Amino acid sequence: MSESTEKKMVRLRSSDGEVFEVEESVAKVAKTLQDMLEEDCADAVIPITCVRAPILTKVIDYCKDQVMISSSSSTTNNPNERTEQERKAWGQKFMEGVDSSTLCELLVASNFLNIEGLLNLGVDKMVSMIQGKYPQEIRDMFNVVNDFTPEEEEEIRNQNAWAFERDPYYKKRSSSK
Amino acid sequence: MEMEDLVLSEQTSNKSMDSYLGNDLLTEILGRLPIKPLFRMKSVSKLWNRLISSDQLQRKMRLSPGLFYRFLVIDCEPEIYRYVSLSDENSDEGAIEDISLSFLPHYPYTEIIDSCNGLLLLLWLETDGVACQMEYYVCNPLTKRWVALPGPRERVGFDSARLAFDPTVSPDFQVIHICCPSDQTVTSIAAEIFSSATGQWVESSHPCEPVPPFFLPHISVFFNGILYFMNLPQYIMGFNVSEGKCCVIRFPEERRHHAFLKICKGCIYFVNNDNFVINVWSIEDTSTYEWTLKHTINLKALNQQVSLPLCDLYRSNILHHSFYPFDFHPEREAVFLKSHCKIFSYHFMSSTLEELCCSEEPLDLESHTFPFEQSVSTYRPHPNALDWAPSLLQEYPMTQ
Repeated sequence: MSESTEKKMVRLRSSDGEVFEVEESVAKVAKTLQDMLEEDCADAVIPITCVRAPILTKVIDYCKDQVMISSSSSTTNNPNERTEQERKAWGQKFMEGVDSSTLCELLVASNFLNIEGLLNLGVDKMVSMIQGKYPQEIRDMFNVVNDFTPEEEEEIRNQNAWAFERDPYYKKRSSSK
Repeated sequence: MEMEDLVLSEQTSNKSMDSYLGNDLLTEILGRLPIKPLFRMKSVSKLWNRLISSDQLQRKMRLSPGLFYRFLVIDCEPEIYRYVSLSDENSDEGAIEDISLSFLPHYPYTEIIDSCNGLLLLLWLETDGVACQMEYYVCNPLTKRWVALPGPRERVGFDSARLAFDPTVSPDFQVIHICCPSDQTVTSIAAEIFSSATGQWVESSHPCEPVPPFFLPHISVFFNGILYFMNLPQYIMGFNVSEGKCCVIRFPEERRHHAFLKICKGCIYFVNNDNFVINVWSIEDTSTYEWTLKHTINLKALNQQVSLPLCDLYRSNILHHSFYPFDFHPEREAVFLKSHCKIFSYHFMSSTLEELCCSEEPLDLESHTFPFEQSVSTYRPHPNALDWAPSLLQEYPMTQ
């Protein structure tokens, strides 16, 4: 049949019921799906129970890009350096504008689907979001309840006061002459 | 699709995001934070505090070794310390930058005289010919906590005081001031020991095997409660600080210029520099104190192997000691070497030389020290000690 020469397609269903049809090679970027497909235990439609449609869209975008990269990597003259640079730039662009709650969902999705590259991108993005912030900003961002008593919080703050200093030279003591 | 516009579904909206992520993912994220932001996050919530203090995360965190070196500035301040992080293999994880000791009183007239597991011992000394003013400081350069100590009774050899601090055993530190022997044959070691637990100096005398009179130690390591110091050409002396016992260990070969001791992966290392040959000896069993020759390298061969800039090569050949080993990596089989303005590390396993840093002016590494050599990965804090070394000094009452 003529269809057998066409690329094999896989269908994925998000937690909110939307069905995505992707090439098998794209789905296989996710190790979890790869295992299922290779063991041939995948149903006609694979339910991705913990990932919502908008997140799954993003995940599929990532996987498509990975497939594209691996098939066209021999076209550049200087593959190592350029791919590394491009990869970084692409990763930054891919994560641009992603807010913290979306990022959390992406992290959980890439963890569940076992997509190491996406997980790494997500974790790095999260680190960049967290590292300049203060605890209250983190609580707001993650919707975390402060379960310390004021005394406990004060104590922990005092123990780690050094970590709150922005300027390492701010407490310049006047030496004797 | 605009990802920012997404609204959280029920599965995420009624949970806090951190519990949605789960402890494993959160630990993964926290594990990649630099040290300062990480410690700031301890006050987010009890869960975050617990995760940051957990063994799992502590094993992931590591501080690269780094060193303070004295920067000689002519016509200006007499000495100023600079800190350089000696992280290798392209990983700057755990590297700490921007450490200044300017928070200490009398800086830059305060001199580092010893370091031990994250703490520094410094001395400020001022003499006007008649009167002498001095003070010791023990500080944690990372947390900038410091205490001033009174001086010992014995007024000779202030700068040979040694610091003993093992956060895995006790949150307290000790400063050991060995007194200069006056007899022809030394049969006991007289010492004054300051303990941060009591805040006092205590004088004591400890019998030892007869040895010739010695100089006061400037090179020592503190390991398993014993201060090992080099003060005689043929011997290392081991002084058990809490039990007051002394032992004498004979060197495996004649000690040369620039020889030093080091603790690497729980063994005592003796790095000897004989002309252009570096021998690395180790003691694996401290009940027998038997030496094993671990490594040997020829610096001349090393010079040829790598493309050192011509000026450095020139200097190394002319000035015998301008390319020499000065320290050993606390966890890897690697020796640190210094040339005129550069620091290298030589990895014995891969036989490779790597340039770590380059200064525009000559480096004075006589005063080098590794303040953070105990990586958190091997760190098992004492139950009474605060979570981690950066907080350890806090319990000690501040004396201004």
